[in-house]
Amino acid sequence: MSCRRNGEILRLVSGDQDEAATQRLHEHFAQCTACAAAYDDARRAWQALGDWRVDAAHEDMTARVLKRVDGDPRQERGITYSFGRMGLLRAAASIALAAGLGVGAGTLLPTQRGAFATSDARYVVMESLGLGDLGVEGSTGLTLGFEPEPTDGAAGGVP
Amino acid sequence: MEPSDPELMSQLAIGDRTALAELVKRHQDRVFEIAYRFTRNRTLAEDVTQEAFLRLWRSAGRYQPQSQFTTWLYRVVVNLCLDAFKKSRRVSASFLGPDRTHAGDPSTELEHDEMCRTVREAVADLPDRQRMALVLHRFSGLPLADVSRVTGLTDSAVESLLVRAYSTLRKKLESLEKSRDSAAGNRPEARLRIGGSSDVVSKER
Repeated sequence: MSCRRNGEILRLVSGDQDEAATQRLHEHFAQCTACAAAYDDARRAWQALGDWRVDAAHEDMTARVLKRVDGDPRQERGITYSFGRMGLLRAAASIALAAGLGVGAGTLLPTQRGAFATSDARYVVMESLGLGDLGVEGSTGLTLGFEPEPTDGAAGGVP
Repeated sequence: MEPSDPELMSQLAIGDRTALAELVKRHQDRVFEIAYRFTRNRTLAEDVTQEAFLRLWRSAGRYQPQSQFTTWLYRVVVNLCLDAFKKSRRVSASFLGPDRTHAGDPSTELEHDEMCRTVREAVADLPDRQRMALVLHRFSGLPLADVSRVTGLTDSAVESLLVRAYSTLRKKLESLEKSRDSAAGNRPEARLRIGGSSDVVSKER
């Protein structure tokens, strides 16, 4: 689709377009089969998704969260690094390896936009959450971050 | 007057646990629902919810009030979900929990369950980022600009993801409907509304 009306179509489907814009879009659909098809798909899928009911009932998480906070090493806002046995050596080795790879990549490899975009995104997210300096995992083993995804040449490099 | 979310974050930054408890009470349902729709696993969704608020506690000192609190929180949730779901793929499908069953008339319940399962299967087949954008757009009531902020993608990338997601979903639902129809001997009550011609678009937010 070359009309670049994706946003307008989506706002129409979600009911976020005013009357004048709605009318303009419908006039456009009469001329443009691609946009009309995109609208039709989105509208019907939106309707069908109304059938996806979810029982959102769950236990009150307050006690669980507060319990985790009690056992959290950063409880008093002072950052506690606990490397443990051999941890310090591993951390030092990781830093040295990362620095070496960084220099090597910077001097030997051509620029790859996708790779930098991914690492930038990871850095921005981690940093914005104040987690850029931490490698802490919760008891669930969950960690933040994007995995690199292959780019297929589509708009925005999305799948 | 109740303190706003940013005010609670300020209190949280100086270690006030009651502020955290209040934020959990206010936002846990929405956080859980996003996580559950994405992971389709109740245990995993609860873990994500818990972890999201723990991250909130840890990083409250760096919260900038100029960014909307829910956008900030959902961004944490999205990243946790993407990460958690990658790990959960190693878990067998039978581990995935069931969605709601409606009490009441058994035929209504059967009809609803079948539709619900079909839609859920179709959504499950979407690529992760399409599914997340879809959950945020369709079920979390976020405008497109906020979906972009939460996912960290550009506006055009989000729009492209969503248009592709809805298109894929429609085709998938039609295909599932046909296969279920033939398996069920064309029971009309088991049909989805996907093939309907109504122009009425409900805004379920």
